[in-house]
Amino acid sequence: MDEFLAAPPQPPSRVEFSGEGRVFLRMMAKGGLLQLVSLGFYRFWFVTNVRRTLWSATQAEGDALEYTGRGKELLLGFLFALAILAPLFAAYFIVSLEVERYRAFASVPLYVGLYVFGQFATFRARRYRLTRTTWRGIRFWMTGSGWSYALRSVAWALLSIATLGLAYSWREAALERYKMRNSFYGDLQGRFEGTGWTLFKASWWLWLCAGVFFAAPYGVFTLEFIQVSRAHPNDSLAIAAFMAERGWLLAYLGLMAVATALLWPVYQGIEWRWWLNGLKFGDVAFSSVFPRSRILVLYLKFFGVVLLAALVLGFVFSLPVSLAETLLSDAPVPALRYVLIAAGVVGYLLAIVGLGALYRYYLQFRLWAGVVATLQIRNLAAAAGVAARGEAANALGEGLADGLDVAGF
Amino acid sequence: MGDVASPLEGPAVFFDGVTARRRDATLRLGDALEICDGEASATRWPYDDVRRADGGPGVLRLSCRSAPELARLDVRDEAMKAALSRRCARLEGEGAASSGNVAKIVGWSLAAAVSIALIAIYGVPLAAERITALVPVALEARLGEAVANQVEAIFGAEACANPEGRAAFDKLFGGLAAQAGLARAATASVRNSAVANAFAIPGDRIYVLGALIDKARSPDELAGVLAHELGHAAHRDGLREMIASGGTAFLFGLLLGDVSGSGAIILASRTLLDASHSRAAEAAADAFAATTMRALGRSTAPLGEFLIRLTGEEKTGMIALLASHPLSQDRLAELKRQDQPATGAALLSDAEWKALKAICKAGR
Repeated sequence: MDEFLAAPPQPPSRVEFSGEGRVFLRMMAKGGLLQLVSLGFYRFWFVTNVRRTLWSATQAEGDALEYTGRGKELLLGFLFALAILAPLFAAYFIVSLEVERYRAFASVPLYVGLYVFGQFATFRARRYRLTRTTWRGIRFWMTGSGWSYALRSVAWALLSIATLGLAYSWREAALERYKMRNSFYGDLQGRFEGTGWTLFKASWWLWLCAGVFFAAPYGVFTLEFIQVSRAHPNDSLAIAAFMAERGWLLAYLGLMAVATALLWPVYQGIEWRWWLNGLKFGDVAFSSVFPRSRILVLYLKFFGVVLLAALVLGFVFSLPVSLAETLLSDAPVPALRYVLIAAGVVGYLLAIVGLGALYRYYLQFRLWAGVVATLQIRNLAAAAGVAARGEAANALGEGLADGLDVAGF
Repeated sequence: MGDVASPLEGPAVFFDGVTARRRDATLRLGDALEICDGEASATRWPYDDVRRADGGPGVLRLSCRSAPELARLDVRDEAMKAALSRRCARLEGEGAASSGNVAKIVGWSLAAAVSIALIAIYGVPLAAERITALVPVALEARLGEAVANQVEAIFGAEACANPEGRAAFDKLFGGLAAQAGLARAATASVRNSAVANAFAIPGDRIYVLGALIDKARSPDELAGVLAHELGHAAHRDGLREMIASGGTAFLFGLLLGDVSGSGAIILASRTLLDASHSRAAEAAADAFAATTMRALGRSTAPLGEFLIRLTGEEKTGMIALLASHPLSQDRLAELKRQDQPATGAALLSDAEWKALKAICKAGR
């Protein structure tokens, strides 16, 4: 017994990622094209393939994760979700009509109802994904109530709005605690030990920067604008004069809007690291040295590549198109014109496919690879004797999330 | 000893799907796949039940239909992998992402898409037509109130109310409405706006925007527009359009979901569809206007000329496909074909017309 206690602690286990970017990119391009020709219906199999690829390329102590979900399940979940959403949307339409009779645009708060439903769907979709994730022949699974989660989420969101975003860190911690204490690996219960305070300490300066340099001047400008337009109703000249006078401020605000948008990926980087460091399953603990700037760098790379591709392709294709335009401008045959328009539509669609593939490559594949590479697991031995428990959940949540456009990856 | 290329034994890692324990096992290829992990009796997997699962790189991961659902066998030994692939006839099983499956998915998707398109092109207008006839007038009026609230939030709740102008407008509209003989009483009002337009919303409410009156050169031009909108009200076009565009929005938005970034295409095809639905309605409203104007003994050509002046000369091409209204030239031609010289009395006196032109100006 003494010997056992004196034994040095096990070194942390590394997690390996063995995905090949080239293969993934090709898969994204092919999937995007199939999605195009199937008018979107291929998406169920497409996201399944993405998950299968990422999961199976991720190995903890040499054993790969496995994603056991299938496209057909997602299709079924979507069809069930339609059956729920169709009457819901109809009811929503009628209620908003009645409210609109009372006052114009009074139905806007009804969107809060859709937000609640979206949060419910997000929770249930997470459950589907987790119960399709297995390692060493044991399933991850989830308990908890989607509605309870949705209400917490909305209450915290309202509090965040009321505190101008200050409570946001505590919201993230509270929701993560709820999700993780309802998550299990076999009979090993998960929990989340990150606190709102740690996240706030790491990210408050972003909040301050956004507030001081963008939100405050923007608020002042908006108040002034409302004053001017109240003082001179229906006088477009007075408003134009006001705008011209504030030209420098508008330019500054435009610049700051871009700069503030860049703060978001920085925040995401901070939050990812905070999240990974707070994850626990029983005695198994995760830790990460995920670089906080990593997501920003990935975004910049993505935008850079897209910009470069747009410039090169724009140059290569604009020449023949403008040539054809001049040749055809007096052509008596409109059919040729339609061919040109059709070529434009096809080019647009291909550009969308390329954009989607690049996005998934940088902000899913490379992000995942970066997270895994910096992840360490302490005391993985505690998971060795875990017994199987929990059932696979249905894909209704995924379908609802899809129908409400809140699906993640 | 004769079959050297096909080993009968080899190493693997076994997970029994009951606990997370990682077991180093020896595989024996007999009449079934035998997994020996030091326990008393070996686990047997019949070859025909063995399926491939997603393993990491260089790993052949197997599952078995007659074993616990998540029991897995990770094989890294190359010779063993080859031997197993030969023996397990149904290794790929169902649900594999083979090209045949992909073709099936795409085929069914296209069939679904074609049926959605057919419903949107033929089914939705037909259904809208039928449903419109079934909507009680009281319900349409409620709907109209909701729309009217939004219209008034955009264009102002106050109608232009210069007293003489208002009297002239009421006289013009009253004469037209009496002639048109709608089953329900239609109302019309003028809003101050820089946009030259007029429209009818459900519940037989007609709105005329101020700039339209500014641009009209004679009472007959404005009367033609009002008669056209009365036509929309008589045919309940606003209601029908609402039902139809709601239907296409539902079909396209919900069924096709969020097709990564092709939102613009969906929007374009919806615009195209809505436009093609409404072109017939516009032609019918023109015919209604022509009938009404003729019955009052007035010429129908001014409406067409007014339209040309408002929209300018249009070129054919993409615009023609996207235009919700039939081209002004076509409409002018049709209105001229039905034209007859004015025989009845002028709809307004010069003084009344002058007052009407000033409906949004003085008196505010």
